[in-house]
Amino acid sequence: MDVFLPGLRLNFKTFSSEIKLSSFGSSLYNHSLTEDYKSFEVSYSLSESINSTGFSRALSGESFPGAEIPYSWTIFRRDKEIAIQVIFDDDPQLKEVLGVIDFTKETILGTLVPRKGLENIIIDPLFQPFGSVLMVVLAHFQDDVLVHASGVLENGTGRLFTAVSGTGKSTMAGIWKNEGATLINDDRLWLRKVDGCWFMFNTPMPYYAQEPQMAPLNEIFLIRQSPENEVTKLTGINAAMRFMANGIQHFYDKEMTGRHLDRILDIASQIPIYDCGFRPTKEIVEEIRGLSG
Amino acid sequence: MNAEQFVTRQMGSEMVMVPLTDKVADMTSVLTLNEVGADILKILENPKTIEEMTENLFTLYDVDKATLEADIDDFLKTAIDKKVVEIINQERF
Repeated sequence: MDVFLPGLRLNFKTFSSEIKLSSFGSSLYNHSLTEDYKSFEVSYSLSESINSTGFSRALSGESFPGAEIPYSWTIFRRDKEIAIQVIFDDDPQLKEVLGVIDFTKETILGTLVPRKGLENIIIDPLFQPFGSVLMVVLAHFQDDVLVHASGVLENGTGRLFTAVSGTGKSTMAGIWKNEGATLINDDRLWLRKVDGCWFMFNTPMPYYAQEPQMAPLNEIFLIRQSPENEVTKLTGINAAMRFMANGIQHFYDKEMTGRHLDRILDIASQIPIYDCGFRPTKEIVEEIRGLSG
Repeated sequence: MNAEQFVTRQMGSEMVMVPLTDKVADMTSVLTLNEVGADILKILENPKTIEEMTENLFTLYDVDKATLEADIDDFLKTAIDKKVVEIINQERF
């Protein structure tokens, strides 16, 4: 089963008949939006335990308090390999997962430890949260950026709205959709440079299926709710750093952090970034349309 | 300048520094420097005494020496506090 991400084809297989791949969020990502892509062979198998011998811990994290299925994750390293481990506190199917990415062989070997007594494990190829952490690692590997943002496309112009959670990304995207724009996604975007220009792509989401979309990245808005609409162009390093603050970023060494800074500064040098206080009504659409006119 | 603990990049005349804690990037404590700050740090890429720094900057900026010395003093206090700059010889400092 193939799942296409920006610049990537992931070919999923299972080595255990008990694992059933059933795509949900990734089901419509069965074709590439770009001409060029790199292929990874991804295989899942079941095991009673995980063996992470020889790997050293690079970075850890956990689900937000109150998550429906709490978990913790760790990224490990061994030479050129990266491993993602997820330990679930209370998942109905899985206790633990270890996915080893070999960038030289272009393979990802996933070992799944099921809960006792289960005959079958039914998972989306990019099941949560393994799929999300995997996307972060793969995006970095090919010098792309993942960002908490919504994006819309209107008459060939792609606009990105970024903010911390709960401050209006979906609201802003909804207003544009009502005014006739195409929604790229309202939560998370994958930014990738194609032929020298930055584009935004949606990614498979855990709780709904969406057609893969892409749009040029023409304008970036750092949004916040405000009693009045106020849109101000930001410049220089201040613009770049305020944009970077909403990136999805897990960097565990100097080289990685440097590469991320380079791409953020590249985006900020090519694409106008605006501070955008807005009232959630359609007037903000007119105000923003007027910027490029 | 404590180059090991930061990832530093230049954009135009400004500079950005991302601190690393145990090699992990701390994106919540990013430092940005304006043109003057960037010039001072460039001078400090190799260790310098305050006198050497002052001489160097005096040739770059149209400023009287007393103001320059006070500004350098302010900058260094903050930079040392944020571990951007290290004192490597207390006597000469």
